[in-house]
Parts: sequence; C-alpha cells; structure tokens
Amino acid sequence: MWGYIARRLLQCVPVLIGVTMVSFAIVHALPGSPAEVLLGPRASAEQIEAAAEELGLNKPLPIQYLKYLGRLIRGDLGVSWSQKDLHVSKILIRDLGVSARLALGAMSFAMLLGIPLGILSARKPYGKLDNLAMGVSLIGVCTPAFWLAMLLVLIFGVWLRWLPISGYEPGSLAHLVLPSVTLGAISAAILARMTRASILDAMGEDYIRTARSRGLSEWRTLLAHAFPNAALPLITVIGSNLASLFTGAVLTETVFSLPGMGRELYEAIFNRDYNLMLGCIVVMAVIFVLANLAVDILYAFLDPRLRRR
Amino acid sequence: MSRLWFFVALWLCMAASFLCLGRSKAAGTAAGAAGLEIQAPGPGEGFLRVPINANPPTLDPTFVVTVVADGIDRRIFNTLVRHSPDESGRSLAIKPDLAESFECSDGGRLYTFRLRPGVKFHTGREVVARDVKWSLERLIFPDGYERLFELDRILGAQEFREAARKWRASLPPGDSVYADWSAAGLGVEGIRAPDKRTVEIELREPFAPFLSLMALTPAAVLPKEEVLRRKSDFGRFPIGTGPFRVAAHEPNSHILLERFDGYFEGPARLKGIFYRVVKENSVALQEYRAGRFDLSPVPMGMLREIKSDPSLSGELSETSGLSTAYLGFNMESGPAAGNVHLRRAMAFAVDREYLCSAILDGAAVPAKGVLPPGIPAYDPELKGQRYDPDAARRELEAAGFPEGKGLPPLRLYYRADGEGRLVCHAIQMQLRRAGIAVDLRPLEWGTFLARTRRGECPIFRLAWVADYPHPHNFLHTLFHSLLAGETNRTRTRDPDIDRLADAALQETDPAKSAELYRAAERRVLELAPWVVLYHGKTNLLIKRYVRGIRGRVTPLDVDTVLPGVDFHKVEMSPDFACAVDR
Amino acid sequence: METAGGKDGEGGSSGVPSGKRDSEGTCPMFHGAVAYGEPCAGAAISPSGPGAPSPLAAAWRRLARNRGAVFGMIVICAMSLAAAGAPVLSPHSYWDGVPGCERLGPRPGFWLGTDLLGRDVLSRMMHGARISLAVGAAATVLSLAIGLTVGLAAGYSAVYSRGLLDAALMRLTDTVYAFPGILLAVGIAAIAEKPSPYIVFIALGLSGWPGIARVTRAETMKIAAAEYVLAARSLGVPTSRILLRHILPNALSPVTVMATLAIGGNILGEAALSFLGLGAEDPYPSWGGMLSEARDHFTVYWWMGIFPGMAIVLTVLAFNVVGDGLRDALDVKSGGASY
Repeated sequence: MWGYIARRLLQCVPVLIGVTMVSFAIVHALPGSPAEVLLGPRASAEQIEAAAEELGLNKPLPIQYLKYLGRLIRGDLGVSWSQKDLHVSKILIRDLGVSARLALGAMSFAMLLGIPLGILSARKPYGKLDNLAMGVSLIGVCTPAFWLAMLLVLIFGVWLRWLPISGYEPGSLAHLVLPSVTLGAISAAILARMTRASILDAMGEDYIRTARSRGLSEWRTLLAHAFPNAALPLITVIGSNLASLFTGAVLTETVFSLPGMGRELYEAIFNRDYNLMLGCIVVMAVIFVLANLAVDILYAFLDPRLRRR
Repeated sequence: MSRLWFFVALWLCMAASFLCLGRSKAAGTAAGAAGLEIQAPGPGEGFLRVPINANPPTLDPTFVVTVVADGIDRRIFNTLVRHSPDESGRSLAIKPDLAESFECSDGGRLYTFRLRPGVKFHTGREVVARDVKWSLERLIFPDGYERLFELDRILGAQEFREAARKWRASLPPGDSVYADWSAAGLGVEGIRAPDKRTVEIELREPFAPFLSLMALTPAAVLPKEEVLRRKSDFGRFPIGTGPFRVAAHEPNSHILLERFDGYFEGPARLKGIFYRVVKENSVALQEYRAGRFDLSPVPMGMLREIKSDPSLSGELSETSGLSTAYLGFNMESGPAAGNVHLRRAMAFAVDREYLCSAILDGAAVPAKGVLPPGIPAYDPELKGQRYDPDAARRELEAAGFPEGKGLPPLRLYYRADGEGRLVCHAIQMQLRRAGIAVDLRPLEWGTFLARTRRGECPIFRLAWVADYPHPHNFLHTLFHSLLAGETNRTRTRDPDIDRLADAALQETDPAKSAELYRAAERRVLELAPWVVLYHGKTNLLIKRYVRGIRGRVTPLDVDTVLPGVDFHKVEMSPDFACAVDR
Repeated sequence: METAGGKDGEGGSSGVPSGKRDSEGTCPMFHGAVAYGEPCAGAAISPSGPGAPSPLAAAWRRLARNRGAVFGMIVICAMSLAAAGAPVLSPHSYWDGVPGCERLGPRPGFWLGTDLLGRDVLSRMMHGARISLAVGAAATVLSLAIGLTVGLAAGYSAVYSRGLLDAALMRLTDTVYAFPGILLAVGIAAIAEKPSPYIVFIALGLSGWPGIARVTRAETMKIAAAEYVLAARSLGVPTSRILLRHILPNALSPVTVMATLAIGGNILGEAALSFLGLGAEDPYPSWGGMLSEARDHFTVYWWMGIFPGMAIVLTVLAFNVVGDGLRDALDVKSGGASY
C-alpha cells in the first residue's frame, strides 16, 4: 500500500510539469503587460518596457520557464505584481483558508442533503417522497450556480434579510451559508441521484435477494447491504467534486465577494499578474492531484478486488 | 455496515474542519495585528463602513494607480496642498494642506512652500522639509511607476533619474525601491529644503498645473525611515500624517482604518473607516439596504428606481465627475483615418441624450466637448458635437458613402465587462439607423489596452478620468503629438492642437490660457478624432445619519472612496439609532 | 416487500412490459437520469410487441411511452425550432431596440418584457437559444469523443495490461483536470481575432472531458473484471470487440448520466464564459450573456434575469430526461448483468 502511495505521489510530477508548462505558454501568449493593466490607459511605453524588464519578460520563453521551475522546486512562488510585492505564497495561504472552508461547507451541505435524500428515495422508488426528492434534485442539477446565487441573494438577503450576502468573516458562519448552499447545490443533487441509482443497482444483486429472503428488515437490507456496495461511485463523486469545489468557485466567490482561490486566479489573469496566476494554477493542480490520489487510495482500500494493483 | 459509518465519519470530519477552520482563524484575533481575524464593525460603533469595488494593489502612495487606493491613501496621507471646492462650490481650488502657505515666483518657475509646524507622522515623529524632498524624489526615482511624469519639469529631475539608474545598477537586485539614494549623495537639484520648514521647488520652465500635481496622492509626504524599514510591507501598512491609519489590512477582503489621535487638525470624529471589497455594485447596494454599509454606489441603470423609492431617494447624492467617455478613431490607419467627414458623420449620428437617459439612466450627462464641467476652461456655451441625423446624412454623403452605400462595416472595440458594453450596443443601433454598419468587438481589458496602444483598433470606446482639474490633462495628455501612441491613443498629430496646447501652458494669464485651451478643444472637435459621448457622474447613496459627506462630494471624487472629501470632519449623527431602525 | 415487487416489475427478468411504470402512476420524468444502472425492460430479449420489426422501432416505442422523455423531447424540439427559426419567428430584432419601450415588464407585444435598450427579451432569448444549444451540444460531443476513448483505453489497460497506457492517459487526464478552464478560454479568446462561440465551444470541449474519462475508466475497470469479460478474453475475442460490444454498452449508463449532465454543464459553462465576456459575439445574445446583463437589475427588472435563467434550467432539464429515456430505451443489456 505504501509503495502504491509513493508511486502515485511520484506520478504527480509529470502532471505538475504539464500544467505549469501549458499555463506558462498561455500566460505569456496573452497580449497586454502587467504595467499596462495596472496603469490602464495612462501607461507610457517606457513604463511598460520597465515592467517587462523587471519581470524578465525579455528573455526567451524556455529560459523563463526553466527559471520559474527552478524557483518552484525551491518552494519560491515569487512576488505578486498586482498586490505590490506581496509574496504569492502568503496570498495563496490566505485564499486557501477561505476556499477550504467554502468547499468543505459546500460538501458538508451536499452530503448532508444528498446522501440521505438518495437513500430515502431508494427505499421506495417511485413513491411520493422519491418523486419529490428526485424532482428537486433534477432541477438542482440543471440550475446555473450563478442564477441560483442571484435567487438566494434575492430571497434571503434582500427580501427576508436573514443572511449577509457578501464578504467573509472567519468567526461568522452566517457569511458562508449562502455561498455554501450555492456551491453545494449541484453536488447535493448529483449525490442524491448517484446514491439512489447505486443503491437501486445493488438492490438487484443476488446477495440482496438472499438477504431479503433471510427476512432482514428493509432498512437493514438497504443500509447494511445495498448502500455499502453502492458506495464506490459516491467516493469518486465526493473526491473529485471536493477538488473542483475547492478551485472552481470563481462565480460563487465573485457573486458573494469571498477572497478565495478561484477569484484570485480570475483576477490575476485579468491583471496579468504572472506569478500569482502561475502560483494559483500550481496550487490548484496540487489540490486536484492530491484529491484524486485520495480517491484512488480509498478505492483500493474499500474494494478488495482492485487492491491487487 | 462499516462503509456507512465511513461516510458518517467522513461527513463529520468535513463539518468539523469546516467549523475548526473558522475557529482557528478567530482564535488568532488577539495574536495577529492584522489579517482576516477582524469582525466587521456593526452599525453604531463609530466606524464608517464603505464598500470598495476593487482590491487596491498597494497603498504605497508612490505607486498608487487605482482610484480605490487613491481614495484610501487620502485618509492616511497628506500632500503639500490639496484640491478643495472654491466658494462657488462648482470648481476646485488649491488650498493649503501640509503647507500652511505657498507662493510662486520667478515667473512661475520657483515654488516655495512653508510647512505647518508640529505635524506628526503616525509614529510621532515631526514632519520636516527633508521628508518632502525625499518623498518627491521617490516619485522621480527610476522605479516609481509614476503617473506624474510631468515632474520631469523639475530642474535636475532627469539628471537625477539617470544618476540613480546607474547607482541602482550597482546595488543587489530586488530591493532598490527601498534603497536610500540620499545617503549615497544623490538628489534632485530643483527640490531644496533650506530649513526644517521650507521647501523650494524650481522648474526648468513655467508649468501652470504644477500646484495641481503637488495636490495629487502620489505626492504625499512619507516618513523615509519607515519606508526603508518596512519595505514592501509599507504598501499594506503605510505610515503617513493623515487623520486615519491602517489598523488591519487583508488584501482582497478588507481594510480597517482607525483614528489617529495626533492629527494636526485634531482627532477625527469617526472612530475609523472600514473598507470591504465587494465586486458587484448591485451586491453593495443590497448590503447597504440591509444596513451593513453606510455608503453605496448606485449600480448602472438603477438611478430611476432609487429616485422613485421614497426610503432611498433622500439618501441619494449626485455629483458630476471629471471624466469624458468617447469613441476614439485610429488617426493613422483604418477607414476613418483619412476621412474627417466620416468621423463627423458618426459624431452627428450618436444620440447622447438617449445614451444618458435610457441606458445610463441618468448616471452621466451628455458631452458636447472634450472638457467636462468643473475643469477651469470648460465652455458652457460650446456648440460642440451633437445629435443631428440630417447633418449626419450630409456628412456621410460628403465622406463618399451616401446613405452608407459602399461603406464596409467598421470595427468598434471596447472592454467586454464594463458599462461600456451596453453603450456600444446602443451606439451600434444608432449608427445603423444612420446607415453606418458597425461590427462590435468586445475584448478583455488587458487585450483591449494592448491592442489600442499598438494602434490595432480602428475605433474604440474608452473613458478618460482627469488626474487633476486642469485642461492640460485633457488637451495635452490626450491629443499632443508628443504622446501619440501613449496616452494619445488616437495618435492624433495636428500642429494646430500642439501649438495651442503648448501656448496655453506658457500663458500666465489664466483667462487667456483658458481661451487658448478652448480654441484647442474646438480644433479637436473639428478634426473629430473623438466622438465625445458623456461625462460620468458620481451617484452615491449615503445614510442620513452620516454627516459631512453629502454636499461635499467634488468632481474629483469617483466611486465610493471619495478622495476629494475631507473625512476628518465626517461624523455619525447622534440620532443614529432611530435612523437604523427605520 | 412492496419495493421489491415494484422493482421486479420493472426488471427485465419478469418480462413485465416496460409500460407498466407509467401505469403505476409514477412520474418517470424525474427518474430518468437517476435510474442509472437500473435494469431496464428486457425488450431486446423479448420484443415488446409482436409487430416490432426492429429493435430501433421498439426502442422508439419505449421512448414514446416515457412521459418524461416525451416532455423533454418536446422542450428540445421547441427550443431547437425557436433557435432555427429565430430570424423569421422572433417578433422583434435581437439587436435593435424599440425606442420608447425600454425596460418594460412582460405585456402583450413584449411577452417577456424588454431590456435596458428596449430590445425584446423573448426575441433575444430565441436567438440566444442558438448559441446555447449549439455550444452546449458541440462541446459535449467533443468532450465525449475524447473522454470515452481515453477512459475505455485507460480502464481496460489498467486491468489487463501492465497499465502503462493507463498511467500515461491518467496523467494526461489529471493534467487537463487540474488545468483551470478559464485560463484556456481567456488564452484562446485573447489570441483569436474576436470573441466568438467557437472559443467557448473549444474551451469547454477541451476542458470538459476528464470527468467523463474518469467515470468511464472506473466503470470499465469494474466491468472488465467481470466474469463474462474474462470469459470473452479466454475465448479469444479481439480486444476492440470486447471494448465496443461488452464494455462500452455496459459503461454507457453512468457515462450517459455524466454526458447529459455535461450538456447542462456546457450550457452553464457557456453562460459563465459569456458572463465574463469571452464568448460574446456582440450584440448577438446568449442566455448566459443575458443573465450577466441583468445581474445589476435583478431586483427590479426581474424579467431580464428570470426568463433566461428559466430557459437554461428548462433546457438542461429536457436534455437530462431525454438522455435517460434514450438510455433506458436503447440499453440492450440489463444492468443486472454487470457482474
């Protein structure tokens, strides 16, 4: 098992190299320089040239890339240009805290709502509860997060005024309720559907029939036999969703003014803040890779048939 | 069964870490001097709560380039002089700030400032003339990405920059902005500090807007030792002389300013100011309505609704601003470059009243000329560019395209994510009705800037916001051939404009100078490198219990950060409680 | 045991006609997408009617009996019709506002209201449907093509060869997965001469396949370990045949769930990128673009934001139910045979 984990960790290296290389190429293909964006229409040619000089943009691209990689290996992500001279690592650690809370909040919400809903639905397929739950979850999957955010803000922030609709305060849970629900809604819907489907799938198996014929109660059959065997797809969904919730919350973070990773990257792109942009991408890539690694390890752990790899 | 428990455990782990992440940050409150660890002040705690729509890249005044940083720095720093509304309240005059008096002699070449006694930095040290000299030199120093390139008119500025560039090359790379050139014997010849309270600045030639430059935020007075000690941290926790100082600063989230009790005009009445980043103006407005902000911008297109809402209309503050939105033509190449009639036809075809009322909903006033109201040479009688479909038809015929026949679609470039987008849609509508087909080309901001600078956009929509209230900042900065390809994005090269703008700058009589600027403006409108569109307005909602802002918003104030308002005098009225419960 | 009864009633093994589901008064429209892995009517084994000349016709008949799928098809047809016929059918111009009719609420003449420029929201939505549908479908096809290929190859090689191919493909998948799609979109947009839906289509298609690949791979691994695959291998059935005839059809049900979600996801992605101004071919509308135009005025001029949002939800919903109805109807192998 440990060898497997070590091998998987080693596999992250080519992924990171691939991601940084492609990002580096795209970043430098973008027209416009940091000085240009920062100074707006006021930038003079001299200032733009000075910015290029300071950032070392006049050197050939492969050399710039190797230099960046060299610094990356030493753990140095460089300094941000748009947040004058602040170290990228400092910025990202801060953002990461916000994004982590948001992602965990969203996934907690999704699991809390989605899995029980799926189990309840699966207990009596095509019953009233099932119809209702699946109807809601289907609409949940189909709703743009951005639109859902607009609706939630309208209802809870503007009409009812129960919850704050923007900003981030670490002590306050209230600030994260609407963003977590917005971000977690689709995951909740997917989880509910996946749970129900997986359980129904498992219900057709012989061993369930056996269990039933032994006279086990319906709930016990469901929870002790069907659900555990239906769990594998759920783990993929949770793992990969968690990673994408972590990094793909640009719109949610923008609408709710949360200082998270997604928005940082989005702004870094538009500010042409190369170091910050690449730093975000590297950190996001690491999160993705680690989350997938965790999923695979769990798979191996939970499914003996696959453990032989 | 174990896998079921596994899921329960997994969920518990997530929920627990979700809660704990919040706790651990909160626990750091006492320890951390700054950071996420602060709670937003509630209503009635004496803090003014203000939304800002962008993260200020730095608060170091030397490098200030954004409106937001400019406005916040105004609370933290002082300049020698400042712009204040004159008696009429309509235009701005230069008033003393750190300098208690100032005079101009030697035919406009020598400025002498007398510093106010007993002004202290937030650290408690007294401000002396050498601080002023060092702060201004820092703007001229090669790394200053200054927008005050006009400071090159100071005697010895260019020589200093050259010498400093050589000297810097001998330093280890990295920290050169925070190196002390004065210790190395370098300095600008024309900036002198003959005694502790006198600053003399000598120019190479007279430059009328010079005092305006000295009133700009980048010209703020900084404590050298703190800048050198804090280095890049100075951009987050700057030290100045202003009525407020930074208590907490979390980039992309919030900035908390607290009152500086040693301020030279006495402590401010507010306990502090809490700035929070909210990207969307509509969200800021909703938070304002929910009582979580004391001030809010009015989102585009919402003015009518707010005016018709009895609870909000009384909180509205409308002020015209020093900006001009325009369509610019590339004057070097493209279909409009050699065809003045086509450019004029377009100027006649745009219905500015419609843009301002229907789309911008009163958030702007129609423009006739380049200069916005509030700029000294502004001419209220100017006929300028106006909507006239018949004239547009005639000009189009004169351009060689009767009814638009034979005219290929013109490409109009603009920023994809701004208010300009809908405006460009509307302009396309109007121009098509006049027979001029337009292809819309929205671009992302960085790409847009790069392309217009390189002259790749035949027509583009931009807005210029004045750095300082002087016509020079429009007619020279945007149209002088010396700046073609830089701030002169249309690449206009016209000897008449150059001559008039230069002459106006040399003229010492303000009335004659204004007349020359007006002539330059008329020449610009005749040549039509711009289709002027509208002048922006600053529309704000201010809670009734906030006193000292309404009625004091100046044309220099853009957005919620209000650089021109003196926050030292702002206060929360005592009948605050009932106002909140409304 | 009523659940089991219901279950069996639908199972292929009992031979109860699939139409029974409807006769039970259930609401299959909500269940289609969820029925993943559920054994479907064993129609291919015992054709549902004596007059069924071909499996396709039988599938069509089954599809026609699924109320949800019929609803979805009607919605998609209506949307497609509106999209295709927009230049002729739309009551007003999509780019030219009616002077004096700015920001009107829904009323006769302007059934869904007008926007800030006096443009008819309904007309703009009809034109917007063209972009949203075309981009959503095209990007999904691109993602599916890449994702299915990669997933099948990786999953199969993970089980039956040394897994080198699997390792390489999964690293590629991880790389693309870990790569922020927005950077790709901005990059393509910045290099392209002007914004266009093609940018969005390519960006979404190129960044959307890893999810499909991962699910396909997981499913392939599960199926590839099944006895009937082992049996097929030992009988010397060529790998391509195993992949296409045995694994792909069985892997399709979860992939269909993913793909139908992906159409939705791509329509949503198109909305997100239009919101950032990357896909906008101004003044041509897209639903996402209309949403972003409306966001500042949402609280007052609700019709500018509500209707495009509802169009998105309805369309994505329709694709989901039809996709599942199709799968139920076409799926020859019943899910119970997976192991």
